[in-house]
Amino acid sequence: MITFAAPWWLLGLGLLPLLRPLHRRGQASPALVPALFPWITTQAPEAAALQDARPDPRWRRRALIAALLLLALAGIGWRPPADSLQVRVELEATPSLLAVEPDGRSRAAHAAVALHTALANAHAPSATLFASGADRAPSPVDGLDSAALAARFTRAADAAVAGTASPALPPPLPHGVRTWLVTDGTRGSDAAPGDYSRIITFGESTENFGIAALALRLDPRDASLLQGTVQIHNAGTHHGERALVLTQGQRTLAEWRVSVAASATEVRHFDIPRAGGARLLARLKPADALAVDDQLEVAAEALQPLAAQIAPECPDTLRAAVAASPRLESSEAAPALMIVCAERPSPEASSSAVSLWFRAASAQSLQPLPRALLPAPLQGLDSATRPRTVAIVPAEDHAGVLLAGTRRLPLVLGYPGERRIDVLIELPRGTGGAPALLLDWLLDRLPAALPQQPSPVRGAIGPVAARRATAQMRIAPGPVAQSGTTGRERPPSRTVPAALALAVALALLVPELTRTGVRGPSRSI
Amino acid sequence: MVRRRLSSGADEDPLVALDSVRLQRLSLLTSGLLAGRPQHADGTLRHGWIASGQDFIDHRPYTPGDDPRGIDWRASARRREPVVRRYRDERAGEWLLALDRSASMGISTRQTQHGAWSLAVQLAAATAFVLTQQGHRVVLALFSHTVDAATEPGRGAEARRGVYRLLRNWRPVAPMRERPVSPDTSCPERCAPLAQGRRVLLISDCLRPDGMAPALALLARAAAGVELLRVAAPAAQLGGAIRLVDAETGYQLTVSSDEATAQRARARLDAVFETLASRCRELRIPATVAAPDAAWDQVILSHLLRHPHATVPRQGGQQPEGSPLQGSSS
Repeated sequence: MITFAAPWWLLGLGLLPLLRPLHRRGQASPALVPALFPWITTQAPEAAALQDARPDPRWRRRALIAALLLLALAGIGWRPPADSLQVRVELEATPSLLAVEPDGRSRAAHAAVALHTALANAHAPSATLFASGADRAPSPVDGLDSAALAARFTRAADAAVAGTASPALPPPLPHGVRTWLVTDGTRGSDAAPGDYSRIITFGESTENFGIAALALRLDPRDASLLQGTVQIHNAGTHHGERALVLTQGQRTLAEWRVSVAASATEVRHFDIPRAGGARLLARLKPADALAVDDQLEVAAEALQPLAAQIAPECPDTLRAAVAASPRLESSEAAPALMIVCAERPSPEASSSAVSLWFRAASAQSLQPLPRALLPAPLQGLDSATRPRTVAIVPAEDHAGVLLAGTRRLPLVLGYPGERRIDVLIELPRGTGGAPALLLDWLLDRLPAALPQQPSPVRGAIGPVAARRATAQMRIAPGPVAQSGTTGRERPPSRTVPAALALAVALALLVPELTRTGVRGPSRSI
Repeated sequence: MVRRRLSSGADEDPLVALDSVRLQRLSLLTSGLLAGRPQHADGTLRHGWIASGQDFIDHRPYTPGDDPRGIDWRASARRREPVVRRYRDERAGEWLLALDRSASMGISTRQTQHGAWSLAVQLAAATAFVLTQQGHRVVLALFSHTVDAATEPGRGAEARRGVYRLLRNWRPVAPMRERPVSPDTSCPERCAPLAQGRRVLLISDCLRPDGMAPALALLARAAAGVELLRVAAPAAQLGGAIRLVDAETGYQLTVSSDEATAQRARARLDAVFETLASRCRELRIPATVAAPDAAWDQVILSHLLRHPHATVPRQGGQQPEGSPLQGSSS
C-alpha cells in the first residue's frame, strides 16, 4: 500500500498541466535545419495555427521530472497490505502509567492515543495486547477505540500498583512477526530488549515524591504511646520539597517540610498517643504527577496490649516479666494469653486463648542442657548450675513446630492446632532480665508458631507497617534498550521509493540542464 | 598501428570506426576491382596497384600472393619477418580531398547522432589511406565559406598522419555561431587554387540553392579531374507549426510543416539535386550519394562499382592520372 509522509506536496500535481501552455509561448517551437532554402516557397502559417501549435515536446519530460520530485517530497512509501498485518502489542505496565502529564491527561491516555494513531497509520484495526502484569493472558484490543485502550492501560497500571505486575515482559516473538512495545521507559535499561518492529514511547514528567514506608509499634517504655516511622523517597531527577502530614481520623497529628535530594530517601520518626485508635494516614502535599504513591496508611487501632493471665504457680521472675512487658496487660477476665507453669496441662486452660506452657517450672525431672547447646560463657558451668530442660521421651507427643532446640532435644515447641507453645527449658533463676527477654522472644515467635492466632495477638506482636517499593515511584522516562532500531519509533520504510523517485528525477534533469546549456533554445530535427 | 592510432581519440571521434582490417581489405578490393580495367576511356593506360617505378618508398609486410622476387631479404633479415619493397608508381598522381565543414554537415538527428560529418570524415580518412597506400600525393582541405585548413602535400604514412590529425582536430562550424562573411556558407570553389594539377574528390552535402553546380564547374576547370561524394543531409521529421532555423545562416522561417509542406520542400530539394546530377553528367563528374548512416567502405566500393569507366576529360592539357575512385558520372 502506498503511503505518504507529507501528502500535501501532492497538491502540486494539479499544477502540472500548466506546463503545456507554458511551453507553447505563442510561437512555433524552433527547429534547426541544415538548409532553409527548400522551405522558402512554403506559406507562413496562420495565426490561429500558431495558437494551436504543438508545444515543445520537452514539456512532457519536464512534467515527469516535476511529478517525480513532488512524489519524493511527499515521502512516498510502501507498506504491506492491511489485511495481512497482525500486530502484537506488549505493554510495559508500571505505576507510572497513572502519572499525570502537564496537559492534565494521564500517561495511560497518552499511550492509548499513541497506540491508536500507530495502529490507524498501519491500517491495523485490531491488535493483541500483552501486559506485564497479573493479566498475562493475551487480550484482543480494538485499535480504533482509544478510550477502551486507555481503560485497559489503566487497569494494567492498577495491577502494577497493587504489586501483582510481572517485572518483565515475555520475550518478543521471533523476527518477522510484528511486535510493538508500548513503554514510557521508566524501567530504563531493564526494559526487555528485543527486535521490536516499533517502539511507542510517551511521557515527559520526571519529578515525583512518594511515601516508601509507614510503620507503627507499641512504645516499649510506655504502653500509652505508639512509635512510628515514615520514609519519603524522591524518585525524580531534581532536589525537591514537600509537606508531610500525619492524620489520624480527622485530627492532624503533625506536619513537616521535607527536603529530599534526587533519588534519596528521608526518614522521620514520631510518637503518637495510643489512645487515638483510628487509622494513621501519612500524606504528601502538594500532589505531584503520580498521586497514587503520595499517601500510605496503617491500622493503628490494632496495636493494643495483649490481655494475659499468668498462673499463680509461675516463678516470680516470670510474673515480673509479664508485668513489665508493654505488649502484655494483666487481665483476669477473658484473657487472650494464658501463661501456665505446670508439669501437666492445666485443667483451667481456656480453649479460646493462646497458652504458653512453661513445663519446666514445676517439673520433677530435669536434665542439664548439653554443653554444645549452651553459649560459650555458660559451657563452663557444672551440671548442678547449668540450665536444665524437661526430658521428653520419644514416645511422648512432640509433633509440634520446633521453635528452638533440636529434633532429639526440643526446647520450644509450637502446637498450632492447640494454640499452645511449650517451653521445655528451666527458667533462669535469679532476678535478671532473662525471663523478660525469653517472653519477648516467644511473643515474636507467635506468628510462625500459631498462624491462626486471633487478631488481638497480632496487634500485640506488632509492628504494623505499609511499604512501597521505590522503583514503583519512578516516572522519569529513560532510554529503551533495543537492538536493531534507534529512536523512539521506527516508521515504515519509505526510503527506497522516495530515493528511487528522486534518483529518476535527477537522472532526467541532468541531460535537460546539459542540453539547455549547450544547444540553446533550439532543437535539432 | 592504424587501428591503434585511430582509436586513441575520444569516443565521439568518427575515426574510431576505421580499423586497419577494413582499410586493408578496402585497399585490396579496390585494387582488384580496378585491375585490368582501362584507366582512361581510350584504354591507353592501365591502372596497376603494383608499382613498377624505380623510386623506392618503404617496405611493407609480405602477404601471400606477393611476388617473391619483390622480397627485400636484407630488410627481412633485420626485421625478422618477410617484407617487400614498395616503389612509387610513376603514374601516381596528385589528389585534393576537399571536405565540407559547413554547419549543415554537423546537424544531428535522433537517428544519426553525428549527422553527415561522421561519414564524411570516415570517407576522407579512408580515401587518404587508400591513396597513400598507392603512393599518391594527397592534400586534405577543409572548407566552409573559405578554406579553413589544409595539410601539406605528401605521400606515405607521414601524409596520412597529417590527414588524420586535421580530421581529428577540426569539427563542423557551430550552428549560428560563426557568422559567414558571405551568404554562401559552403564554397568548394575556394579550393580551386589548391586543385591546380590535382584530381579533386569533393565530399559535401551540397546544400546550396544552386546545388554547388557552378562551384563544381569552376573546380573542374582548375583541376585535373573532379569526383563527388555527396553525403545526404538527414531528413527533417517535423510536424505542426514550427520555426525553422538555418544552421548556417541563422535565418528563421516559420512554416506549417504539415505533410504537404514537407513534401514540397523535399521536391524542391530533389529538384536542386537533380540539377546537380545533370550538371555532373555534363561535366563528366563521377558522383555518388551516400546516406548519413551508410558504411564508409561500402560507399567507396559502391562509388567504384557504379563508375567503373571514368571518362574524365583532360583539363589544361594534363593527362588524368590513375584514380581508385574513377567511374562514369551518374
